[in-house]
Amino acid sequence: MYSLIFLGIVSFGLTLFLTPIVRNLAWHFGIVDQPDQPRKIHSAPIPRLGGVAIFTAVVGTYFILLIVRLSSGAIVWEDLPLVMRLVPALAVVFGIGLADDLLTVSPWIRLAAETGAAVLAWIGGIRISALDGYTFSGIAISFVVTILWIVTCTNAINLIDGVDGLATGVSLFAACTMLIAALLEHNYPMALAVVPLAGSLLGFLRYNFSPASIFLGDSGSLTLGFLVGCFGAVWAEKSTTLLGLTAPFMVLSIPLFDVALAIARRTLRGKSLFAADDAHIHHKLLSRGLTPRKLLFTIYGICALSATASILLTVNHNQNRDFVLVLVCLSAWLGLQQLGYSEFGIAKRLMFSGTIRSALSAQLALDTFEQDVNGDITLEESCNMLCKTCPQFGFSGMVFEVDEVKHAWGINDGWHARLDFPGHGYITVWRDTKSLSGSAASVLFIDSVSRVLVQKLNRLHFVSNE
Amino acid sequence: MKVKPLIFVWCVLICDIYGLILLNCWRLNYYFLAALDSSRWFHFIIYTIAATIPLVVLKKVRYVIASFVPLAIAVAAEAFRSDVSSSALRSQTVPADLFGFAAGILLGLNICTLRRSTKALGNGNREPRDG
Repeated sequence: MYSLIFLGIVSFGLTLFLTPIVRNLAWHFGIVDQPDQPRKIHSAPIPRLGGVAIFTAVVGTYFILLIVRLSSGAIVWEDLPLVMRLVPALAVVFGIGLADDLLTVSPWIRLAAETGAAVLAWIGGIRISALDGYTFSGIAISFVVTILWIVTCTNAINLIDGVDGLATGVSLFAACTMLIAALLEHNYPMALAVVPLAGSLLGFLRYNFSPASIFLGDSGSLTLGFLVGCFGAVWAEKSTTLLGLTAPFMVLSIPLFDVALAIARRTLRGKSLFAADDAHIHHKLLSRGLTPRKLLFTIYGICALSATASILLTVNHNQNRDFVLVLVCLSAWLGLQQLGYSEFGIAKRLMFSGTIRSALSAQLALDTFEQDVNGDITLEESCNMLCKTCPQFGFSGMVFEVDEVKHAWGINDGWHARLDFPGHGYITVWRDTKSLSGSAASVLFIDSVSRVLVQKLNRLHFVSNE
Repeated sequence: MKVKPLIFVWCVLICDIYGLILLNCWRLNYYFLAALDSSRWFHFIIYTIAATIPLVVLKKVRYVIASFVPLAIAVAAEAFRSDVSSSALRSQTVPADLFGFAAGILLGLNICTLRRSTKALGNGNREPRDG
């Protein structure tokens, strides 16, 4: 226990001491984040190597513990393998983050490095071998789930790092919850691994809280996400088998929800998954008029609630987990509605208000029309076909004057579109301004009529010349 | 004053909840009711519906809060009911009631938000066309 307190205090003190030094070095070498993009909400350049201070403090704390040789040093040495096994993977993640801070790294290279680090962690023994109480039958499933979990967590913390103190605070909540869970379950190795992270995050928050004087940077956010993901996997593995990933999932609910939204949003928009945008949860809350501090306290409040719920789940050995999951889903739904993402509203309308069905029937009607007119029929029959198809696209009237065929049909009221066929004549179609049916398909219909009739006239002209 | 049908459903549900608490299911051998009463999911669903209806139907906040009072009393009564001898069963059903209550509030809020956004969307679509 003394070792834990010692680790916490030393890492907290080290971060308090190291962060200003790293900040000054970043200023000196010009490694600052410029407020030159619309997504950036800070007004002045801010150093962005906070991750270096956290990483150095966490690693330094273990060294100091081993040098000081507390009475419990032997126990610590026995339990340190968890930390030691993580070191190579952590070095890879921190390295790629630092490279991204200093230079610009392609998102694919970054993803490859994160996956590589997750593989190293898996080799080092960080494994999720059961989910929801069911043990995976093959090692391959465990491998895939573990890699997916760690890479998702790494990117989740990286994505929410858009407001001063947000990623640090969320990670601090996660680390503290994991520490409490580890202590409750007498999981000493995990407690030893989490304490320095929690201490250094608390120390770093002193400089990173709004208004921040230093940012985490990619070196910090990726490292934090990776560590939190690994500790979550250890928590899921060591806790009672039924708990599975529920508790770690709840602790990281905000970042994971944000990453899920980002993937869904970009897929719906047909954008690259790596394309940056200003529609993350924190951007949405800021656009609703929240100040950065109010936003922080709102998200900290949600994190505190979900952390309490996950601790209660751990204490109660998973009783009422199903009810908690229902509540989490309902809260997520409410949050999603309150955030007002237009993508999801439009997708819902397309799916449930019959838009897809009407688009499909319009497309089918267009196909039938094009096939019929392209077939071996006369111009007069084509005119009749047009009269028959017009109402399906909301057109109420038509004037057809092409070559020798002259025909008028319906009510010529509302707006109209005139299609000219030079040397042959014209077609005018009328649509009632109050008509709501097939408004989008009507444009497709006009385009189709124009295209098909030109082909038809050319063909008829060619036949008559022969 | 026009009373909405869902309010009747809500009243019936509240009566059922109190009926289950007051009826000595175990002693009078109402086996079916006893089986229902011991189901956590039954408690959860009943309380979810009972908490959702006022939020969806009633417009004034004070009426909604007032409608939660009988539910809160029911949960309290459930915790202190004497007919269930097993404390293990009570420790399962009371949290289910509370979780159901919370889920009902969340579901009600979701439905209200959904209805508001649909209404706003409908107005937004219609106005330019009418104009």
